[in-house]
Amino acid sequence: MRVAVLLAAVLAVAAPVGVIALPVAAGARGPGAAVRAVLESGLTVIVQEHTAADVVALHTWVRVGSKDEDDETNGAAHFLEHMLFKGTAKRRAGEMDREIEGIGGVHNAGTSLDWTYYHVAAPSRHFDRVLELQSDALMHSTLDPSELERERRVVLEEINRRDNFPATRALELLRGLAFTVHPYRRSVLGTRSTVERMPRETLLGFYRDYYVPDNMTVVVVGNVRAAQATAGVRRAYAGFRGPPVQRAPRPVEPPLESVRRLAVEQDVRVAYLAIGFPGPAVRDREVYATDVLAYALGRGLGARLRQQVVERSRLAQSVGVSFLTTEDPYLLVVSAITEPAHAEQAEAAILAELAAVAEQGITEAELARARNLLEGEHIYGTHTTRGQAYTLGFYATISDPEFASAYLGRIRQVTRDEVQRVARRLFDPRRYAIAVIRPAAR
Amino acid sequence: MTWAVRPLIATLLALLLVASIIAHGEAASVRVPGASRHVLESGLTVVVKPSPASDLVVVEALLRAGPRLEAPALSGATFFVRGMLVRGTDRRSADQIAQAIEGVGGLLGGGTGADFTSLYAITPSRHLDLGMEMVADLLTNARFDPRDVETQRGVGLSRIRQNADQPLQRAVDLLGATLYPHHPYAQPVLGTTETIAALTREQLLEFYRAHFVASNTVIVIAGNVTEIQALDKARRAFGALRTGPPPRRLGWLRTVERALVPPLASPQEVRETRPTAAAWITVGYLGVPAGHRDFAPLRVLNAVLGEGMSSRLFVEVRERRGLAYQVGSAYVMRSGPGHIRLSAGTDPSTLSVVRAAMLREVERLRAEPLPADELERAKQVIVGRYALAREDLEAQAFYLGWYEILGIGFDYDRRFADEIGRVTASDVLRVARMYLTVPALAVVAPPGAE
Repeated sequence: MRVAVLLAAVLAVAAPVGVIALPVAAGARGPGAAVRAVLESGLTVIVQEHTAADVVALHTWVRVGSKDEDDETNGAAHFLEHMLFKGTAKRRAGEMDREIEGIGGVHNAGTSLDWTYYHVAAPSRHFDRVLELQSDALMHSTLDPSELERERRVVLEEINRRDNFPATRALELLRGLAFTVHPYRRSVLGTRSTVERMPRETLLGFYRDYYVPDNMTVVVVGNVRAAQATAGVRRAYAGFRGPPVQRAPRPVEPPLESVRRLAVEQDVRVAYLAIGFPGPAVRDREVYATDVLAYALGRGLGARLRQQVVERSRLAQSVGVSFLTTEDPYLLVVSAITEPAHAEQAEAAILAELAAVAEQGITEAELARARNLLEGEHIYGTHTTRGQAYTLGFYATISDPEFASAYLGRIRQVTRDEVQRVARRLFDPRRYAIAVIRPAAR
Repeated sequence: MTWAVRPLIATLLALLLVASIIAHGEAASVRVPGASRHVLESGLTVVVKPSPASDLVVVEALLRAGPRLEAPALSGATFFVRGMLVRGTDRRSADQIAQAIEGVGGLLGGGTGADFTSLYAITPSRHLDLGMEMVADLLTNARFDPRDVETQRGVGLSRIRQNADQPLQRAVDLLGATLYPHHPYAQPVLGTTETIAALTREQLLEFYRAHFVASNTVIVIAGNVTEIQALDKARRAFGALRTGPPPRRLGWLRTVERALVPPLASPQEVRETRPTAAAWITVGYLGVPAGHRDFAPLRVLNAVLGEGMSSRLFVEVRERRGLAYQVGSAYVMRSGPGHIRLSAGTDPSTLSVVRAAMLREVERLRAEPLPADELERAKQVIVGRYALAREDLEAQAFYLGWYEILGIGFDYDRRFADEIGRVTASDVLRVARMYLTVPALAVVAPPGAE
């Protein structure tokens, strides 16, 4: 699924300082299918006309993330994302912010394991203007050395802030435990020491190597005409060239052969558990059944784990399951919050429930609930221009543009047998990883 | 003083309106382009916003509740009760509730704030009847099974500790208690460990029965539905909603609320020492209740100070000096006096530098008139974000209902942009000098931070 561990896996350039938390989403029904073009340069353009509000969402996705880093360069994709807000050949740091906010627009960016994206939303009459601003940042950022030093401190503060969210930290620890050679083991933000030492040349290298047309997708959703918007993107990116990305093959993670366990004591008052089971990659047919399995077990009021572990045995006060769709095989993650004294029992109860699903599968009603809830969330998540643009850009970047349009059809075809097969393969009580953050023992 | 009088007048007018409805036995309706409000015989307010763009419909109930209406011993009762709603009614078990709504791809959710609690169902429009009937059932027939009460008590106590695990959230809670020492706004939405441990099933049921009544409830229906359909269905679905007077504390607060929020006599600073990686600073200044004439200038002032990446705090603390990742400010809008809240996270070694920089930006707002271009950009930031946020159907429903709860009316949604547009630089200077006077600070930082 595309939003599963959004908070945990996407780091944005600016943190919201909100008054009221509302579900993230925005928009309305698009009148037609998305139109896609691949320009001569290799740049992919996807446009979806969407006339419900006089708004346009412009998302540009770059296929680069922490998966493209090594021990030295860890944090480079995210640091670079910050630097694209710090000035171009024709704009000083902060000018883009003032221009976009001056026309009532909102912009930000995010970096994850597989991708980095830049997004703007603005009144649709300003489409050409925001397109010019965003394409300027993507093509002509200067990575000014003194701006870079200041931003280094900002990123270090962002690393400090990670501790603010113990559930997120548990997930990071889990990745470091479950992966031993694959780059998914590293934090998207990097470590203090990699960020403190990160040379400008490394960021320039990432910028030169990955910010090239055939590695990028521009998505436009809103009150625009598809032909005009595509032509606009073509104009804005005229002259943008670059060699195709040369990617070294990423190390293949060897199968998990045991239970790996890490418990960390921290200044917390409850226990945060993250349990990971090696799951499929986006190219595997099993991703659809894995999404359904994740929903059946851990999404919504009717989720099996909630009913069993929160409501019946009361061993946990919160439990959820997420499965982020990724380029390489990733993890299905069960997250739980428990009383510190109940962490072990909660883990056992969760494993017992997973074993039951592997053995007996899920019921017809559970299958229907999971599929329908997935579909409902998908429809709700794409009813706004920004939700639609995010979905199109996400799947186009980690797979291909058809993935998004075929997704719901695939979900509807998932059977109980397929779900059980996936459960059997994933939920092996001898092969999983668990990270626990808990209070210091007195 | 005006703000104390205005809501009173509004209430009297509303009561007169209700009285006339009862007298004539029919609904009083108010229409503005795009939305309408209807007060039914039962006293229930129904707001309809047809929005055919998506094939979705939201049924959202908002009730006056939350900390503002909670007696100290009942602190957290609203949040507790909301957790009970989905755990079974006289007609449906928890499993049946979940299966019915999620089985058709619907979502059930809600929220609780200082002045309200909400419950919503989002469904494909063909399942509007189900969404409406489900919300009505939960508002009317929640079962409060003793075993479920204990489950939710455990969840609530855990949530209080999870909140305390997040240093910024902790600082925000401390700031609230410092700004409102005599007003129930000092109480956290989740309640305290003591109150949640002590609340009995009987107290919760009594709270439910007293607050979940038609006269205290606003139902908003937004999405792919017509006004006539929505109103007709709402009349039937919510017909069994409890009737009764609005919560007693509402009337009582209207007369004494201002006295409960005296201006701070001197700057206050509370500090909690914890082994956190960053130091978290919050600064608060008391403001005005929703509907007050100074709200719009304060809202503009806040945008200049700390909304977005071109705001003063962001530019000064982060862009120029690299001292923070998260820095900004929010105007917290309330039925009673709201406040402006600045916040930042920084390295423990730069705590006092950032603290001083935040206070200096406040001082600048009091000292210098706002340049015209900055005023204009701040207005664009507010109005632009307002429009973008309302692309979301649930947000559309929520805000219409929230404005009713706040006493400023659902049509405030249409008036908002104009009010912001009329604010002048001298208005901003005036409210800066009037309200940004005595700060309250709450800091959560590791030992030795300075």
